[in-house]
Amino acid sequence: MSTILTVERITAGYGAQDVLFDVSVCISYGEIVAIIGPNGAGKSTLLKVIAGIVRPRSGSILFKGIAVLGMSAQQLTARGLGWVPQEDNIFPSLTVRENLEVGSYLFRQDPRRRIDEVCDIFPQLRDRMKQSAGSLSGGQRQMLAVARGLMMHPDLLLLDEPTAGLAPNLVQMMLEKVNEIALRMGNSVLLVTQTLDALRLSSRGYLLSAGGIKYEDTTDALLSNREVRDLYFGG
Amino acid sequence: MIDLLISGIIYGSIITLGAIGLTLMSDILNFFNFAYGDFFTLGAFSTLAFVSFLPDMGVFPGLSFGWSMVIAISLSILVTIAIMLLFDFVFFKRLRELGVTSLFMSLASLGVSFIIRAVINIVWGPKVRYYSTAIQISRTLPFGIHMKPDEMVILVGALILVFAVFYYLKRTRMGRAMRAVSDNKILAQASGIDNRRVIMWTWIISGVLAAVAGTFFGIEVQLSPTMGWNFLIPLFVAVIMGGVGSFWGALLGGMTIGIAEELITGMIQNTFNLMQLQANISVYKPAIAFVFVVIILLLKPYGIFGKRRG
Repeated sequence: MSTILTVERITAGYGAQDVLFDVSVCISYGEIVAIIGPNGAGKSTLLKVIAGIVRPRSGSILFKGIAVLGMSAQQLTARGLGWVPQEDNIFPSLTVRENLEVGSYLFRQDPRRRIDEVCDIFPQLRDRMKQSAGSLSGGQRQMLAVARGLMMHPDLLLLDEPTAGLAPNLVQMMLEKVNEIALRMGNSVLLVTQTLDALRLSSRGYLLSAGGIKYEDTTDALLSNREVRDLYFGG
Repeated sequence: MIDLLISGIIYGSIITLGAIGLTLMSDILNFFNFAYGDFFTLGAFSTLAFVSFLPDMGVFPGLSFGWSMVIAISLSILVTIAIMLLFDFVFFKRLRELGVTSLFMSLASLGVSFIIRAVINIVWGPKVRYYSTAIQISRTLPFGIHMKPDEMVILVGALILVFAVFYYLKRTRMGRAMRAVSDNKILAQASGIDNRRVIMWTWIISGVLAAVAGTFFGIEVQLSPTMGWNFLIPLFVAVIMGGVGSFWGALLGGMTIGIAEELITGMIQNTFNLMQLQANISVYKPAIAFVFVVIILLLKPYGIFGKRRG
């Protein structure tokens, strides 16, 4: 499998404070890769660096074979990168339909067909098109956030804890949807997670701790690693 | 009473136009633009300049103005937008790129307001001016309403413009992008929205509203170099009352302030007149606005339709 994203020795942070140190990650076309680790490890920052939201101090990023470091989030979206942050991931004063339309902002044609496509994945959204996104429940918001991220048909989807704060039955449903997205739309998915079930969905995983990659392995190997299970998934 | 109410509705419709421009600008550009009142003055005086320059084309039946005013407003809108974009390019864009805080942006806008007012003072002088000195007679409408034809045009014009802006924000691609940026700038950027274009369109829409509101105020009242600066108080009160960034909040705030200022000062004036007391209560209009903003800030700190900000 060829590589869609190669992150090489990224060091990044906020203000004078570094959060990531020499982090390297790669993901192939069609692959689901998980980033796991404790709170404050730098997982969300890593996704923000890849999405062009946080500018790193050093390192390089190749997306579809092109060096993209220094490109804006807008340019990266145009090149096929979708980012769904953990928080503030919808436009609350816009309706569900408007959120999806904004998600396909760069796609200058009628977005109805694409809205239909994402509603096939998240049918719960279909009846709520005119509803204000700010009035949705937590689970519906997460569905909308992921659906918005899919509207541009990204080649690589960055999902930051898509199951955070969801009820257990919704967690399973959301993970099934992520799997469905990868299978049906052929997207590669880089998934930040703190749940075992989400890790099981991936083919490989990286354990990020204190801003550095501690382990990098196949999911099975990570799951059989006692330290990983004990420290990060409660045994 | 009904005349005071009508007067308040007309004044409120002019405040509403300015308040929508100011609320869009405050929300999307993320600072209170103290120069907005002076852009309003600039719009009014640009219209005066074009009206004086254009050949006499007569007046519309019953109105104090004719085609020359229509052409002058159109040209004034273009001039106001061009000067606003120039100030953005020279001052505000550079400050944004330097990452200065909202407070410093607002202070810079105060400097811009001094520049515009000084230029208007130099070019037109400090004295009060009028588009037309012709006396207009009020028409009697159903329900005992009295209105001058110019006031009917102002009211209908403001209504059309408010709904045009609403339609633009609600139905067009750029309008949706502006609302998305207002909600969440980072997510908007990650959705492919170009913030620079959104900022440019915010200046353009605010420029249209400032030029038209300034000209309407000039038609209804008079023109003076400090008209926009004085108008800032009701504008800010309307924006704060409705909630920064809220279109409907600006509409509600603008109309409430306009009607309240006219009704309350008018009723007090009438009472004073009945008691044969000598006092000009209209100079206390800004005090009404201040009372409103204090009450609103105590009860709803983010305004009636405002978003809680981090």
